[in-house]
Amino acid sequence: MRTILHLDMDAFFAAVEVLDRPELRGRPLIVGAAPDQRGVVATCSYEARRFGIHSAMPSRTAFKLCPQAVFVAPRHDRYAEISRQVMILLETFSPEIEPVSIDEAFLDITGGLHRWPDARTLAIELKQRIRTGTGLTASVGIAPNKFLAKLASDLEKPDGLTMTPFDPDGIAAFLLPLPVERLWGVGKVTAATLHDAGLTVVGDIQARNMVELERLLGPALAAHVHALAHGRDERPVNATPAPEKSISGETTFDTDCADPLRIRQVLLETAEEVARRLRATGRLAGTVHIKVRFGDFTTLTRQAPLTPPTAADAALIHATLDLLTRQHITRPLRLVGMGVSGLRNPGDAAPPLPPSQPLLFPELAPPPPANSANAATPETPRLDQAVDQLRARYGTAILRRGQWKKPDAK
Amino acid sequence: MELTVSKDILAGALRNALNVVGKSSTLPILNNVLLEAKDNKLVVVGTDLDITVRTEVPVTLKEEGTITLLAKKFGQIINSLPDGEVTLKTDDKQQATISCKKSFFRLVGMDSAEFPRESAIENGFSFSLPPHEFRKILAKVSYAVCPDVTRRALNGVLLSLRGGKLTAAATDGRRLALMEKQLAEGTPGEGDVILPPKAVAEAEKLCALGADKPAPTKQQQAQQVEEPIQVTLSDRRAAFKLGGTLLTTKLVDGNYPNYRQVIPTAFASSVIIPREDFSAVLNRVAMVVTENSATVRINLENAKMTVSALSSEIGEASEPMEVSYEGKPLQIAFNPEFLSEPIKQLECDQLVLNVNDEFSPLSLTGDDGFLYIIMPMRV
Repeated sequence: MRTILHLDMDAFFAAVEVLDRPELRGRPLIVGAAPDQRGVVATCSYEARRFGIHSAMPSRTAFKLCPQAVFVAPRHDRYAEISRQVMILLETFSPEIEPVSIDEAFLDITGGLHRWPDARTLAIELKQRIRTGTGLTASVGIAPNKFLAKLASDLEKPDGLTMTPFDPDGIAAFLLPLPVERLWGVGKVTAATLHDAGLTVVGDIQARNMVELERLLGPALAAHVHALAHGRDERPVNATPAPEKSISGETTFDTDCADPLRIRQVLLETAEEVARRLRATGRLAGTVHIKVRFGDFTTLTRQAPLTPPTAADAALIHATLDLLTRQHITRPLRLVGMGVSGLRNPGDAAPPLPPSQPLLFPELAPPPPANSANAATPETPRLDQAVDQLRARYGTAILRRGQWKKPDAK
Repeated sequence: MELTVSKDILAGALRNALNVVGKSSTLPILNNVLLEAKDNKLVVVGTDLDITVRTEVPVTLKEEGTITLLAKKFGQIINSLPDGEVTLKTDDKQQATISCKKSFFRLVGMDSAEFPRESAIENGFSFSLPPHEFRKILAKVSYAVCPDVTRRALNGVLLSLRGGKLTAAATDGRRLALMEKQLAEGTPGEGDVILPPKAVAEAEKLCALGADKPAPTKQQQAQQVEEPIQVTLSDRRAAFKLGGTLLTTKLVDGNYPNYRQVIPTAFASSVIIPREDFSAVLNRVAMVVTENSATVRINLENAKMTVSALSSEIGEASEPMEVSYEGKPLQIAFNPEFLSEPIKQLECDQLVLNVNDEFSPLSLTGDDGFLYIIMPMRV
C-alpha cells in the first residue's frame, strides 16, 4: 500500500500578491485582466470567491459581482520563484515529487514514512514549513493513490488536511456520496450520460457491475470509471519527468513593435530567463534559436550551434542577438522569442564535430564575434550563479543588464 | 542615323553588350544599348555602370547619328531576322526602324544624351598576350574567388605585374590559386589590380570569342599570328581590348592579402597522379558526400592512393589509384570541390601533389606557371 500526498497551494497567485502587499489582506482580490480589458480572472482570493467570482470568469463579470474588488495583473515570474521555493521544501520530505503545475504537486511519501509517527504528522510539519518558509498556506490530501489524494486535498480548502480511509470498504464509503463529476476523466459529456442513466453520485456507480457500465460508456471508459469509483488508481508519482528537450520563451508585443532597441531588449531579457532556467536544470545547451513573428503572422525561426555548449548568460545573449542582427528585420514584429536545445549534461561527450575546413590564411578568418569581451570567462559561471541567487530571492527586477550592444555598434 | 550592316555582325556586337546590360535596372537607361554611327562604323555599348562593353563594327553609313534602344528586345529582334543586310534608321523622335528583307520593325528609343559615358583610362600601363593564353590564366584561378561580396578584396581576382611577369591570384582564404606568366620582354609598368568576378567572367568570354571562329589551318596558324588581347591596368579601372571590342571595368577596392606567405617553402614528399584519372575518381567518389559531410579522404601508402568518402545519409565510396608515392602512410581529408575545380581547368597529364602531413597546407602543380595551395580539412 502506497501513501500519496497531494499538495495544493491555496489561491496561489492571490496569496502571493497579499504576501508582497500586506495591505491587500482581507480584501476581495482578483489576479487577472483589469476589469476594463478583455480577459479573465486567473485566481481570486477567498474573500472574492464569496461574491461568486471564480477562475476563468471574465474580469468584466467579476467587476459587476464585486465592484470593490482589487484587480492586479499576474506576475508569473514571482509566482514561479515562490513555487520553486515550495518545491525545494517538498524535497526534504520525499525525493519522489511530481510537480503537476506551478501550485500543485504529488509526493510519494511511502519510503520516508517510518521517520514519522504517522502520515498526518508529516503533513502537519510540511504545511508548517511552507507557512514559515513562504508565508503561504496549502491544502494537503493523503491517500493510498493520486486520485484519492487530489480529491482529499480539495475537501477542506483553504489550509486543509484531509486523509482518506486506506481500506477498500472505507474508501468506497468515502467516495459514495461524491457527485460523479469528481471522478477524474468524467467531463460534461460522460456526466450527462451517467445522469441520464440515473447515476448521480459515485455510490450509484459502485452499485453497478462492469457489464452495465460498459453498455453505457464503452469498455475502456467503463473500466476507468469503475476503478476510480472503487478508489483504485495505480498511476505512479512520476518523480523524474522526461528531461526537457528544449527551453524557450517568447513575448507578444501589445502592439506590433518596429523599435529595434526594444526588440533587442525583450530578446535579451528572454535569453536571460531561458539561461536561468537552463542553469536550473544543470545542463548546457548546444543550439540556440530565435523566433520572430510579423504582424501578418508569418513566422521566421533561425538557429545556430553553440560551440562549446554553454549555459552562460553572456554566451546565450550574444548568440541570440547575433541571430537577430543577421535577419535585418525591418517590418514590425508581433512576437519575438528565443530558446535553446541540444541540452546535455556538462560531462557528456559532445557529439562529434562535423569536418571543418581550416583557413589557409588565419588572418582572413571572418570577423570574430564583435563583443568577444562579453564571451565567457572563468568568472562568468559565478556571476551567473550570483545573479540567479539574487533574483530567486528578490525577484527578476532586482538586477537589470545594461544595454547589451547597439544594433549598429561594432 | 541611317546605315546597313550584316545581321551576323550586328548580332555579335549586341551579344557582347547584352552580357552586361541589366534586365530591370532601376535606372531605365541602363536597360538600353547605346548605338553610335560615325566614320563608317557602328559602336554598340552596354553598361551596368561597373562594367562597360563597347564593340565597333563596320557598316555602310549613309547618315551619322546616335540612339539608345531597349537592349534585350533589340537583341531578340536582330537575332530573329533572316540572314542578310539589316537597315537601321532613326528619326528625330528617338525612334528606330529596322528592316531586313521583308521584315519591318519600329522601336521606341531613348535619348542617347542620358547614356552614361566613360572617359578613357589615364595613367595606365598595358601589356598584350594571345587571348587563349589570357583566358586560361583567368580560368585556372577564378574558381577560387571568395563568393562573399562582403569580403571585398577576396571577392576578386588579383592581377599583378612585376618586372614583366604577370601573376593572377584568387583565394577564398581556404585555398589559393596562382598563375604566373612571363610577358614579352620589355613590358613596362608595375602594379596590382583586383578585378571583380563578373569582369573576369566577361574577359574570359571576350577571349573565347576568337575560339568560335573556324579553327585556322596549320598553314594559316604559321602565317598569321593570333591577334593579341591588350590589357590596360590603372588605379581605378582595367580595360581589355580585343579586335573591335573594348571591355572596361571598375576595380575592387581593398588590399589583397599577402598570399606569398601561405606558400609552404618545403614539402616532405610528393605524389604524381594522372590528372584525368584523378578527376574521374574524385567525381565518382564525391557522389556520396552531402553538404554536411563534404569531405573526401585520400590515403597514401607505397605507390598507392585510395580516394574514399563516407556520409551517414547516403553511404560510402572508395577507389584505389596507382600513383608514385614513397613517403610515410598518410590520410588527408579535403573538400572535394577544392580539388576537382583546379584539376578540371588544368591541361597537364600528370599532377604533382606535395604534402607535409594531414594538417598542413599542400600544393598542387602541373601546368606551367600554376600553383595551388589547399588547406586539408580537419576531421
